[in-house]
Amino acid sequence: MMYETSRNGVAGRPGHAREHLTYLLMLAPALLLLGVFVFVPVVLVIAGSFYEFSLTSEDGRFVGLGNYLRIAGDEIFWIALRNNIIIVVGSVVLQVGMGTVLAAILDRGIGVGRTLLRTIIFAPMVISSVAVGLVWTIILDPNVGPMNAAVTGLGLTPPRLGWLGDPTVSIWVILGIATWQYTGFLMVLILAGLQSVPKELYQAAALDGATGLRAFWHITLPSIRNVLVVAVLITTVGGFKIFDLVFVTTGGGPANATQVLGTYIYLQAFNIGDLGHAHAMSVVLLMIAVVLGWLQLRVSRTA
Amino acid sequence: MSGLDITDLSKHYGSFHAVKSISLGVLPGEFVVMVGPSGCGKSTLLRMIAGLETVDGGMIRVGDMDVTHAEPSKRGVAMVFQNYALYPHMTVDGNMGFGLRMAGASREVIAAAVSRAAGILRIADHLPKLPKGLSGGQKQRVAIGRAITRAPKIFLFDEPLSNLDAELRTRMRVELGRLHQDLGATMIYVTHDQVEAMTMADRIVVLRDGEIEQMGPPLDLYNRPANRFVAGFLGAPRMNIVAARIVAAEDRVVTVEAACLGRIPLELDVTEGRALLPGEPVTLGLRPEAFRGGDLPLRLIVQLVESLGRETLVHGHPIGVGTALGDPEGNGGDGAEDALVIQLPDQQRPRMGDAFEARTDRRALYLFDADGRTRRFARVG
Amino acid sequence: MMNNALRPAVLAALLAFAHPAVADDQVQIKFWTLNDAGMAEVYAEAIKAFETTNPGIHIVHEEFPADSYKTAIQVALNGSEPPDAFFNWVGEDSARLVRSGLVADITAYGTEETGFQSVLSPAWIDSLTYNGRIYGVPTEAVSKYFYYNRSFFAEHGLEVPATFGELTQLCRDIRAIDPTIVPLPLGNSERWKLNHYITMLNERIVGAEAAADDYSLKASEDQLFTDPGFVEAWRKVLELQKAGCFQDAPNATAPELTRAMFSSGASPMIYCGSWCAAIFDADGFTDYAMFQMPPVEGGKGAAGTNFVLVQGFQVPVASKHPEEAVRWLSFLVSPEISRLMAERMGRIPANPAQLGQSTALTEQFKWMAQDVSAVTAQINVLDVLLENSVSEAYLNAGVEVLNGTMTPEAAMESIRAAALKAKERM
Ligand SMILES: Nc1ncnc2c1ncn2[C@@H]1O[C@H](COP(=O)(O)OP(=O)(O)OP(=O)(O)O)[C@@H](O)[C@H]1O
Ligand SMILES: [Mg+2]
Repeated sequence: MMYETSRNGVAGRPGHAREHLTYLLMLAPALLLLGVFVFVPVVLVIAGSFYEFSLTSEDGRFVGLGNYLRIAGDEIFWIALRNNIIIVVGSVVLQVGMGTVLAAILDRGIGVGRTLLRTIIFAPMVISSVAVGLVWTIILDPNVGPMNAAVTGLGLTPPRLGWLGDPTVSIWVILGIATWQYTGFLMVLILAGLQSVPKELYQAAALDGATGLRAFWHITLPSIRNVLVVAVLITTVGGFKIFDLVFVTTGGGPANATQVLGTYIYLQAFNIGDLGHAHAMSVVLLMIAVVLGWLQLRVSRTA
Repeated sequence: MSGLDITDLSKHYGSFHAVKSISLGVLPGEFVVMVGPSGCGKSTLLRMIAGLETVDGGMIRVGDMDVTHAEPSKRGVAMVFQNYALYPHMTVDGNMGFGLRMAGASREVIAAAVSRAAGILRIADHLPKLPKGLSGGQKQRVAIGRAITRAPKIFLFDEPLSNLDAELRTRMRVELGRLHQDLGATMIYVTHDQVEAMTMADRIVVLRDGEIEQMGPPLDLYNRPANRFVAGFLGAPRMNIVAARIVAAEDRVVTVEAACLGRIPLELDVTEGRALLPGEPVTLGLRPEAFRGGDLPLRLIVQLVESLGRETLVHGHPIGVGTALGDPEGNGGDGAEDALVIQLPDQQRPRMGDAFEARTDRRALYLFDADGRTRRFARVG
Repeated sequence: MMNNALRPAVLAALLAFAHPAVADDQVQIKFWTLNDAGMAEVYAEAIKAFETTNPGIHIVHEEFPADSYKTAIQVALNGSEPPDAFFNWVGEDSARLVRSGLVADITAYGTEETGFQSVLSPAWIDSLTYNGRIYGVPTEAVSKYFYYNRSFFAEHGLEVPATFGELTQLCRDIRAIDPTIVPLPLGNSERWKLNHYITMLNERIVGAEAAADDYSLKASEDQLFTDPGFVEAWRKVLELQKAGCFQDAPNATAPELTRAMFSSGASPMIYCGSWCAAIFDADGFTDYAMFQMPPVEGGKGAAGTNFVLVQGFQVPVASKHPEEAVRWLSFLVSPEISRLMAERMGRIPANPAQLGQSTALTEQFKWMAQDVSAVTAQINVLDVLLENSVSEAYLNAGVEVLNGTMTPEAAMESIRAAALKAKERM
């Protein structure tokens, strides 16, 4: 009510129109950039998803929802989507989970070498995914890579077809690499959240009988809830957007076993040249992103 | 209802000796206030009692139980923190019931305890709120309520009111006093506030550098401070300290000479301690409120006048003492001060820079030897 | 030189208003290539030499990165400012432009004594001939050979295999010498390695001509990729695998690693492109020789065929100076420039006439250049030749067959399914 009145007050003031104009002028450059680099491409992609066309054909053929129907029947699209979901769920569980545990250990458990440890765990984050992918293909190489040697040394048998060549393990290996790369980032994010929890809360909790895991559950987790929500969202969006790591390590192989939406859209667009199909899949990915963005807004409002 | 017994308790932080072999007995139902300068170890001692700090040596007993190394929650103590330390994600209800919930109490038991505490503290209306929706005073009430629900044997308060404004602090002080009476619980209370210490305490403990300087009922400490530190610490404005020298000594009577007061014969109350021979430097103590007329005139140059309405505080430099106006510390060599404070019981307006004469009585003089020990107390009444 | 070149241009510009016809005095040829390292300098030398003898023609060289090249060409050919001659891969890439009528028929040009039609062999010219008309000038090629370690073969009395059966036996023999040696490492992590095998195995078993209609999707729906030879070709891959030729996880092994295994002497054989020779030389390993994919017993392959991937230049229909453009392209395949390309860039040129005289080239390189020029029918690699989605199916089938997740029959079924879909879309 108060808000409404004061708004009306502003609206009733003379010079209100001029103020609006000023706001508009100040926003204009940003709106223009947004329009050119976000809005226009989005419209083009949506429009393109209703046509069948290729990189070389001059104009496409209107097929209505045909491309979307093809997606529904495209087995590899569903593999890619499943893989994205594996990456998303796995990343949330592993990266956010381990990030939280590591952050808690650094926050409360370890006194010495904390900065060094934090730097080491964070380090992979500053390396580009492409470089990370290349390094791991060497580590995981079935012929000369140290991973096979290590696993054999432990008396176990590494996969005969190679970590990245075995269709049943490769997506999990990629999940592992992504976890190695991003857990440090989440740890630092969550650590920042943990360090903003007042020490007295833990002391009060200790007096109330909550220490160790119980304090973690009843005090720590609820206190960093917002940070965790952000972490989960970042990880989820990242999991749907994943491209370069897969592209460099397996290229979506062996035989589409690690295809994700990003690489599959790329494959359809640039290798196969079926742009309509690629556009339609991009629109699906966009919808997923929009839903996630909406969720983020909702969650951050209620929190 | 249990008391608390602390024997030879000590604590190091690295090489820093924060608590030095402290022994203290608190009777069941007693209200003990701990005071002392910042960093003297009050919080540390309190937190050791609560189990939030490990103990390097000594023993803590609550009632008949040795709790030196017990879990915080197993000691039967509750603590109220200066910044409330309410769980921000729990409602008032949840905050207050948390301890019992952790102890595995049933829903009904928790609800009963919470509503009883909420009734005592008059916060029943706020039970469904989150802490961020409460005022400072309400938050502190909830923090106290949280302590009450657990029905502890001993309450520990670490400067619980210092985040509140003066008015609210006064109200809460009264309420805490009432609470103490209602519950009859043993309470240990840390504060910087003279009024809180004087009004609430059954007994005040003065700490300094990790050691107990003196403890006793508030008026005892005020009237008969064991040393110059305690004398200076209790009472606001602080006791005036004036440098003096022994000029004659015979048996229990010494004659001292101070620049601003002249020669005064004084009877000693404490004979043990270093010998007070002629030539020995000593200090004299005079409370600001001791200038209500008498046989000793004291002239000073007015430096600052604080008119408080009901009373007037005159700060000035005594005439006859080497001028040290530029000395920012306001301290003479021997812990004596160059500037004196005189509290007048009415409204007066001496002008700054003018000479001002106040009168005091030799009966109001304290005498401290060079070790700082009190050798003569002011005569009260 | 600069002055000489500029003066007519300035003059032409000045006179343009009065006499528009005179403006054609100086011809500018816009020439597009990939930005391969070191190539710009070689082209600059060639341009300098060409412009000295052709003062009326000015070559403007522009370079593009490979990954955006196809798009750039596409846009330029449809736009208003196309180049006059541009690099292209011979195969589906060149054929598509011919089909869509974007590149010029240059059959009428380059027939003079120094013209490309006079200096190149018919097999080479055929590579850019469609329906009897010539649509470009091939300049160089890459091919594919089994490289083998000469000392290792000599030491163990091993012979170059004359048949595919002997090749598999060779693998068994090498495993018998030392079971830890990988006789013929296969780095298929990028999928094209096995595709090169299957390209040649299809030729050796089905025959290039018999397969042509399948590859171009012209075969009828009930015929498409049904030749049992295609299945047989996949079986041969499995034979190599069973004979112990490959290491355990070819799909997870990078091609670079297998090359290092060969050049370090750890493995005695490798199936590698003609470009690998320069890599082994750079690694300091020169004790190698090569042989072609041997014929398969009972196969229908023709003699004299080999894997040859041709690259060359095409002229857009929109170019205003096709004749001058072809004159420049003919110069690029002249004996001198061809030799320069071989010596400086390790390219196998379309015109090997002067290579024999070179002292800068290794004997292996000369052998390869000779072998490529002797090829009577060039076999194009499947992932370039096939329609994209069919190519994709072939690449994936290779991975699955090696992994044992698909039988040869299932592989061909998946490829046929992709081909049928692609044909339906055409
Ligand atoms: N965790 C710690 N590590 C090292 N030194 C500490 C630690 N906690 C307290 N100290 C030191 O111990 C001494 C006593 O601290 P404590 O907090 O008990 O003082 P305090 O009497 O409560 O002071 P204040 O009135 O300012 O609250 C201080 O000198 C402080 O610097
Ligand atoms: Mg403190």
